[in-house]
Amino acid sequence: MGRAIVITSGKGGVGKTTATANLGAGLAQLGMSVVLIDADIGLRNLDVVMGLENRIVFHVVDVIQGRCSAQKALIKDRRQENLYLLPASQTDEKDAVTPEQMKALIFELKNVFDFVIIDCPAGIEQGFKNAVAGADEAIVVATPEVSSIRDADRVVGLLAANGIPTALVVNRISPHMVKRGDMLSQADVIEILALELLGGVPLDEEIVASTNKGMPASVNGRSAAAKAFMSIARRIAGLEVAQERQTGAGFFARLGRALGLSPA
Amino acid sequence: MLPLSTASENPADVAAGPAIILRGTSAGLEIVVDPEASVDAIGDALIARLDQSPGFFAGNDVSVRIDGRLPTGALSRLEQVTARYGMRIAEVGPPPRPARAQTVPPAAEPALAPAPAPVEEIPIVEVAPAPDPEPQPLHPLPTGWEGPRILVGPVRSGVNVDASGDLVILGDVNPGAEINARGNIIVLGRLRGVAHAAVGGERGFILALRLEPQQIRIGKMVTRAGDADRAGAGAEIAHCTGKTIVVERYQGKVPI
Repeated sequence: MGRAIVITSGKGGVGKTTATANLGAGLAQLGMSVVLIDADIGLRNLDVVMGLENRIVFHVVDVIQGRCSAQKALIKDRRQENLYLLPASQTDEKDAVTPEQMKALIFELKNVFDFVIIDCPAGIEQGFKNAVAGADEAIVVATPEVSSIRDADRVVGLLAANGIPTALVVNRISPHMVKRGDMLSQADVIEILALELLGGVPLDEEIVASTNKGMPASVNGRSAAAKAFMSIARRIAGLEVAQERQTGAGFFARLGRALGLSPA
Repeated sequence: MLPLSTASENPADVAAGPAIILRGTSAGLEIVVDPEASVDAIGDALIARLDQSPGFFAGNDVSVRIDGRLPTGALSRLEQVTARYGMRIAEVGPPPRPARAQTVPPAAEPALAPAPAPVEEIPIVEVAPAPDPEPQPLHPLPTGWEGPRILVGPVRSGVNVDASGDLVILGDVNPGAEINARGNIIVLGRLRGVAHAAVGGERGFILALRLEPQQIRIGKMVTRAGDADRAGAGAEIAHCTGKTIVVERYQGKVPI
């Protein structure tokens, strides 16, 4: 039985789809069988980032409503043997599927694949509920911006209420800006969200270029961001232990610091 | 509950019963005031009592207990007298509840100890009576209140917490979260959301290891965080003076 992981963030535009594509490709690179599900019904774009848009015949709503089998709707990646995409529909609304239907579909796919990665739409409405329904785990993507962190915090609360264990990816860190004090650091983000960190991804032009080319950078990418995605994929697969379990300054650490018991 | 010593030395008061009784309880010193007594009688009786051991009570907080209303001017007289002996009136209120000891038949007492001498220099703090199966709370809660609600954080954005008494959060309160309590709020972590203490009341405090709230409300008053960055301030407490909300460094004292 495989693992179903939902990639979510609350806020839009922080890199959920990019992370889904890169982590999926990364896991496939590691020899896992992976299926990516685009749960952003009505605004699909995971297929674009994967460079597979012109191969779509059936989509997730077709599968759920019984117009075709899941096997028929799955699109195989151009470069990797064991990576598949189940695209979203572009013409339906979010309420075309229900959380129960998604759950059943994901359960079916988990029987076949090592990883089912679900690209969640922005927001916390029906689309979010559908996307998290069948997930065993969640990865929250946040950028070091207060608006992103605020929304991520809300989403983490909702995931916790659903009993879904959650880890964090901090995306688009600019080391220069952090050094200048113009950007929140990775540690600042973790401090607020109090989650286990899977990894930080630096701001990188190669990601934009590879997204436009429809080829996830994590496969044979040389940039820092590509390496970061690969490293996160290894951690998801359990092949690499986090060098540092940076769950941020915990409550007791901070309590101690406030009482002057431990150095800051 | 036995009156340990009274102002009964003053013959004028003997007939009407003592105007005040000073006694020690498990909750601290209490001045029990006879609602029938005049302001002068109360003041004189208290002076007479405190003169027996001047300086002994200095530095203590004392509660005024009266079964009814204090006569006009009595409180200021009491404050004046207690201040002279270095004491402070912490609260004024009705007796907590009829003392249980009074309902115990006196026959049971002599077996344990002889009756205390009528003149007693040192006030004896009441020891919890042995045959009392039901523990009495030190500070009885107002009716309709619950004991403190204790919650393990972080309280995340979009979460609303309500407490019908005091509220204690072990962990952070993140921006976008809202915590409300009819009583006081204590955050053992960072308070970065909105906190409302003394909901429906007037007086209360909000205490946090890091007080960086979006907004603080106490009773009907609202204040928002200043625009200046004030990092590293340490534990701070916000309380209501009646006219405004004051935020200050927490130095171990609760200003209520």
